[in-house]
Amino acid sequence: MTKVLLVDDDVELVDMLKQYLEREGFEVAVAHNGEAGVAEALTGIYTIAVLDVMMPRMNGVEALRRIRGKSRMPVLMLTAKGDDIDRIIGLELGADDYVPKPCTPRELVARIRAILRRTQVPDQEKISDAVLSIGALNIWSEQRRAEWNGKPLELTSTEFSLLDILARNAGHKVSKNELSEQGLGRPLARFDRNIDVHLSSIRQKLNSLSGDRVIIQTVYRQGYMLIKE
Amino acid sequence: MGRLFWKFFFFILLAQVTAIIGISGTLWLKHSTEDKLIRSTNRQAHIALVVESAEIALQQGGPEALRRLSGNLRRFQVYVIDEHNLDILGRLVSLASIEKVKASIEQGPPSVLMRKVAGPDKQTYLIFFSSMEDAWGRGAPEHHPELAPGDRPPLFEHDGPGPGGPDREPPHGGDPGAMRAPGSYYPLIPVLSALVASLLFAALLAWYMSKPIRNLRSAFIELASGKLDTRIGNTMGRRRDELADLGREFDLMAGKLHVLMESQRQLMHDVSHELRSPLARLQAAIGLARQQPEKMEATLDRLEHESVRMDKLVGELLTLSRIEAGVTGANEEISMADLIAEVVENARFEAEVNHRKLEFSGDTEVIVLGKFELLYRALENVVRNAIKHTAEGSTVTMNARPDRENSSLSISVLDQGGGVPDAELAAIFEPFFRGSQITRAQQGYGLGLTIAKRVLMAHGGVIRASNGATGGLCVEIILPCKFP
Repeated sequence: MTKVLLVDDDVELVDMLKQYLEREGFEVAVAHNGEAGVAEALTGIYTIAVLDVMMPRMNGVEALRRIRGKSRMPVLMLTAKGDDIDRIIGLELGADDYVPKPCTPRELVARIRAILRRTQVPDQEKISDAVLSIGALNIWSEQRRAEWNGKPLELTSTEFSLLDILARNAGHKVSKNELSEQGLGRPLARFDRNIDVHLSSIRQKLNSLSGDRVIIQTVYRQGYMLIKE
Repeated sequence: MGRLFWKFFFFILLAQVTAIIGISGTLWLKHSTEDKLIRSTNRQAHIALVVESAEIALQQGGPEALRRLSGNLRRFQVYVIDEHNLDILGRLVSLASIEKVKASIEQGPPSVLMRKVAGPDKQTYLIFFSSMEDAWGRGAPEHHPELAPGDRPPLFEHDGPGPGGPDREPPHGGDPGAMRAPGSYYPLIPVLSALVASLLFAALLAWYMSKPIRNLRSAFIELASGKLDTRIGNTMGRRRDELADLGREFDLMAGKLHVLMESQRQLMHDVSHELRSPLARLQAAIGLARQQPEKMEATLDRLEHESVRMDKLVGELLTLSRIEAGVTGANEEISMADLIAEVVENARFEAEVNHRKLEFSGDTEVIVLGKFELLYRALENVVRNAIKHTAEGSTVTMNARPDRENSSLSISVLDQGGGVPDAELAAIFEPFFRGSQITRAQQGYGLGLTIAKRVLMAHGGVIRASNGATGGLCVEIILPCKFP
């Protein structure tokens, strides 16, 4: 059973979401502040964490930073803040997606499922060690890990999914909408900068290993392309 | 260059040109009058001298000496007539003139221009100036002196500034040399240079006046376009005048507007945030109702509860916005004894329902100028806040102490709760502040103390918070008042 951790200071809201998610077949645990949330998340028993940005004492962004310091578990940010800045900070810190609050519980469930779909690791014995190699980049799609020149790339699950899509289409451009649908499990919304933020994060991580060589190219107003060597 | 510049420019120029014309005209007239006077005075003296020399020469040396004298003078303008009505020098003189001169010597006032002289040969000679007309400025031909001294005013009086006005030109021509005398023509070059200078000064002055106004205007335009950090600041330079004052006032205004707008914007931001939390709960409740229709009754209760809370939030926001508009109106005299008694009575009831106590002590017999409703809300918010945060079963202590020296009433409300961390003491009066130590059950909307603070500020009062010696929060209110 999928275990979901809900971290939000709004007790009543969390209570209702818990009821809703449980009916949808999730196992739900709750935490009402950032500190407790981080502690719970790092126990490693949860498949996904849903973090509210606005919380007293430790806010969601800080909680995410702490979680990312030790774990690459999928994190969905839930927040009443509509400001883009908060969203982008969250994504740059490695949140897998962002749901603006207020949102319908149905949308929340859809987002959780989308993240889980692309991150859930299949059963151990079925994992193939099929490797996709583009130049110095090696990607084990099923194992969800990537290497550059033998050095491991530390990517969040969303970042890995996006890099995987680009690698399978290496040498061809992939539109942002395709990336959003295949990588995030939803069509690209207007003013949605999620893909760009994730891509910029992937590039930074790649560049730190490849020494500033351009590996992912931006195709102006169309999408991105992984350069095939 | 705007219209104002040109208006300044032309008016200043007009004033200067008028002044130049007036002053130079006056100077010129004065000058030319004096000039004429001097010239005529000189001429008078000259004529007198010539006539007198002729007289002396005749007396001393007779006609012979006179002839020698006339030979030395370039133009001897004196006729010397002997008893036979002949000029000694043999010039032609009309008999009529001689008769006229004789008559005027006998009848008229004594004149330096003509006299009877007894010569050394015992003859009586008649000496008179050859051109009486010339002396009067008429320029008569030398040989036809049309002398009519009886008809004319005496020489001195005639040439003074007469009733005809000093600017009257000599009737026709006269001696052309007289008109060329230095200073008598209109001073063209000084006037022109004065004009150019006044042009420059007018432009300078107009620029000096209109530039700060242009600066102010562009600042106003910027401010109107929403740039609230626009300041006149240094563009006024080192001016010390009304325009510089205006610039400073503008800066003050812009600063106040900036602060005001900023706080409004912050409030808007906070309000939309605050409305999102109940909305999120509403949406979650609706989703739950769809998913679990069997729990419809409980969900509907929840929906109702949330909408009531939103209504309260909106109500408090309206109060907040009313404070600014409301207190500026006419104030009433409020008996604090009545007001506090009412607050205490209502709050005590609420406290007892929640198993808490409220104790009041002190003297409240003072009058405050203000709005009853707003002050009531402020005090009620503080007291209810204390009741909400005091530990169950404990007592909230309220005390009022009038201060006659400072004409103020100080009210303190002390609870026995957990208090507030020192770093957050000032922040609890900010809108939507949530104490880090506060659980959700204790939370309102974070507007109660904000409203209290704004009301007290509007009444000239002060509100501050501190942690009591025994723990718990102590809110102190100081309100200016009158003593009955």
